[in-house]
Amino acid sequence: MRSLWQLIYRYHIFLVFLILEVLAIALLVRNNNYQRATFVHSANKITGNLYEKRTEIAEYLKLQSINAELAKENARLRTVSKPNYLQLTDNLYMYEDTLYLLRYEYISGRVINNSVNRPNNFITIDKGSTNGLKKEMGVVSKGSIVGIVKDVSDNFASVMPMINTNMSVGVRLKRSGETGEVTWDGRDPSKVMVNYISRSANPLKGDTIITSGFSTYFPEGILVGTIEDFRIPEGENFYTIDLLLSTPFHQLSYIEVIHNLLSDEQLELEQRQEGQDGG
Amino acid sequence: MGGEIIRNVLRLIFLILIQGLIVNSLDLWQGYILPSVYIFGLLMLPITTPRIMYMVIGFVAGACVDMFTNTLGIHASACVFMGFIQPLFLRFLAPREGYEVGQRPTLQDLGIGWYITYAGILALIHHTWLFFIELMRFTPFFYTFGKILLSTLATLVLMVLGQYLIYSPTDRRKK
Repeated sequence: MRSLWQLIYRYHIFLVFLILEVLAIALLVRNNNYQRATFVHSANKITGNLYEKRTEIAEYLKLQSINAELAKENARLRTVSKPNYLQLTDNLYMYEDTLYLLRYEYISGRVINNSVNRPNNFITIDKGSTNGLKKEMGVVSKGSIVGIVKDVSDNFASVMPMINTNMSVGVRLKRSGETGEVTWDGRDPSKVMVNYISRSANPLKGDTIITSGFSTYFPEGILVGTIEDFRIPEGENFYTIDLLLSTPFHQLSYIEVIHNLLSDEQLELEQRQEGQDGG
Repeated sequence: MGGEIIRNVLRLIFLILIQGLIVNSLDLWQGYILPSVYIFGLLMLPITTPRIMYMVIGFVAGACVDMFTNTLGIHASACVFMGFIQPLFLRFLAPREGYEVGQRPTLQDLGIGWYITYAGILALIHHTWLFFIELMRFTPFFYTFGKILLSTLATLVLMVLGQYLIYSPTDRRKK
């Protein structure tokens, strides 16, 4: 027994090193499984508030360009607003529309922290569960894809953007409709890769890629990017496509979170189906 | 001694805030260069610090930086590894007569050649561990290797410049 204690004492520094490393790696692995400990999360109070203060200062300096952006957006919205349209018939007006059901709701938010320089980037936004945000909601910015809400606290939420190596989203070629999957290789924050586009597709440089609408995160047709280059790797049946992202992740400032009002219904149905298949 | 501890803790907190709020969003060369200035606070720990404390302080400081970047564990593990090497390296770099009492591991106290070897190699170890742990694989090897070298260089330049700015030579005589 005594010699055991002597041994431990002799190597106690190395033991402490091992314990701390194992602790750090364990935290890291848990982190990769997205079961992130919420108490040390950037959506938590301390860093969330610090980020908000910094954003306030940074935004003050950026006011001019944000104004220009908003003015442009205003102009666009004004052209599609109701007073600009002539009403052609006035005999049909429905209070409770049974033909159309609202499916997607947009909640606007502001980016208060954003990283582009890591393999696993995250965005923190200033809307949280009090604003109706939940996990697994899609996030877009001016009609092009940003990412998926991964975690929410009361007033903040963290978003896993397209430029995170753990992210993948179902997409399709806008022109011919073949579906595929987008992933990021961790390098250039302006480019992603599309896989599983079938050989029979006929992509062209400059083609638009949009969301497929299969998942519950995004409606169909949200802009993802344009094709920069494509090839079929030796011995494979699918295209590998280099895609230029249409969202400028370097300069995100305002985003919209998509609330899919029917997502629970879709997921429940799909789960029931899987349960039956399994049984 | 108490003052020394408070000074070290305040320095670390200040550097972690700088790292989390400013340096991480610098976006140098599309994010290819990513200096870790907060390790300056770890490299500045007194030479007489117990070996275990290097690792414990490193773990806490790294975990704080991780909170900003949502990468719990990555910086912590890199700092623990650096904290493990640091005292061994300090002993290896010691002058023949050993360190003088009250000598700090700074450019002013031990000279620029000594400092660049000390800080450069430890920063290199830190960044190597950091970026490969972050990727969890060795695949874009040369890409990551370049990132490590350039980030280390940027960190070193910032630390050397910072010392020239903060600690004036007169400081040393007063001591």
